[in-house]
Amino acid sequence: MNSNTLQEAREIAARRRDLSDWFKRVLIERLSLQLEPEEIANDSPLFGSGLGLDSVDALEIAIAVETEFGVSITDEDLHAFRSVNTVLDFIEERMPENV
Amino acid sequence: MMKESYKLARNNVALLNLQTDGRFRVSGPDAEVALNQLISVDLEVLSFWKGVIGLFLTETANIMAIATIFKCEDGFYIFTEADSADDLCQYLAAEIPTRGAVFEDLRNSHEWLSVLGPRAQDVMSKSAGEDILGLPYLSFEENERLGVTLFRMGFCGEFEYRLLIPVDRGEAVATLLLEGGAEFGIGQVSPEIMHVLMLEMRSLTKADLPENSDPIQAGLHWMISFRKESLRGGEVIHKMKLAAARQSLMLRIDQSGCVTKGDRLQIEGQDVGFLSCVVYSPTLETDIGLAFIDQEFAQNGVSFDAKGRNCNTKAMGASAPLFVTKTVQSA
Repeated sequence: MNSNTLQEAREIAARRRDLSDWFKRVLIERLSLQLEPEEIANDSPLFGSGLGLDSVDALEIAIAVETEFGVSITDEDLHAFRSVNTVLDFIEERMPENV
Repeated sequence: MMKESYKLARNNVALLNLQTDGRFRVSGPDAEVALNQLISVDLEVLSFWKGVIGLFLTETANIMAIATIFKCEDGFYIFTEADSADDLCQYLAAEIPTRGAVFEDLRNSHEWLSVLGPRAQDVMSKSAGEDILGLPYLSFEENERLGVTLFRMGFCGEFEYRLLIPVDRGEAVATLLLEGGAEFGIGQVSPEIMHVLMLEMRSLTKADLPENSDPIQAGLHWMISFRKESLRGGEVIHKMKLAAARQSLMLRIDQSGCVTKGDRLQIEGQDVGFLSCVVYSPTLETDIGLAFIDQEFAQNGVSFDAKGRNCNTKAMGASAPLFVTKTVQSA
């Protein structure tokens, strides 16, 4: 594990924050959630006790991620859909420019 | 011993006696109105026999207790971890009667057991009947076969059932579960393992948080009904959500045994946060922790210098839950 400089840390955090903001807006718009982006924490559970999404919502999220990032998602990949952060990790790992 | 107990819970099934956890009841015709004035979620939209996770907050939005609330026909069950049980008991005992409802502390009258792990469903369907397989997460039933109130809840990424048992029957029910669960490898373990199991999934207890934490910096937004009228601490929460100075972040720590609660996190020698709790994760074979980090750096992927009292190490922001459990894989 390497240390970041302050500048690197700011850049990493800013990139992640942008991605997170985008994803929260998609969640709210596509799933008609009665929330503002700043009312969703990055580690909020998406299903069950958290945002209370269901399997139909999961499909909607998968379509949004595929459309926006060109990342294809299989049934096995649905394990990644646990929280906002785990979805963002999945996107960052699989984005075409990172493959 | 802890490692064996942990393995039992993550690989098979464990029985825990959560004796020191808070278990309370609020009842009477005004129970819903009374409790709704004190909790961060909206109980009016909660269905009977269902549960919700919420927060008891002060007027200045400091977290007093994290609790799971279940609605029954004549009131509510309220459960909380041991670390906030006494405070919550005192608070509810003072507040509920003034709002026209009845408060009961069930800690002396009822045992509180947990059956937890990938094989928990097998144990419970054998002991309590196959119907319990249809019991959804965050719901409960009166189980006649065992003579208990049976709750499906849990915070460890595993199947988990909790049993509220009149105290005179506690031992008999525990024996029945251990005998019935023998074929699935059940064992009784210390409730101390619960903290590690929970933190790996970022299920927090009050003890994981610094004094006077608010739910926004703690990242517990999902336990708040933001549109609820007269949300206790609501003014502070709505301001805080736009301008929190710090944000909590789960960390994977490079070297185990090096840092502990309260130790500082730095980047290029500049203090940017601190650890509010640290535990060893047997699954990840390293320490993990919750940290409170300056907002501009509080994102996954950023790495920090963690300054222990005797040695230094690295720590990196990580997504929660920290791994996929066997239970989730099989589901």
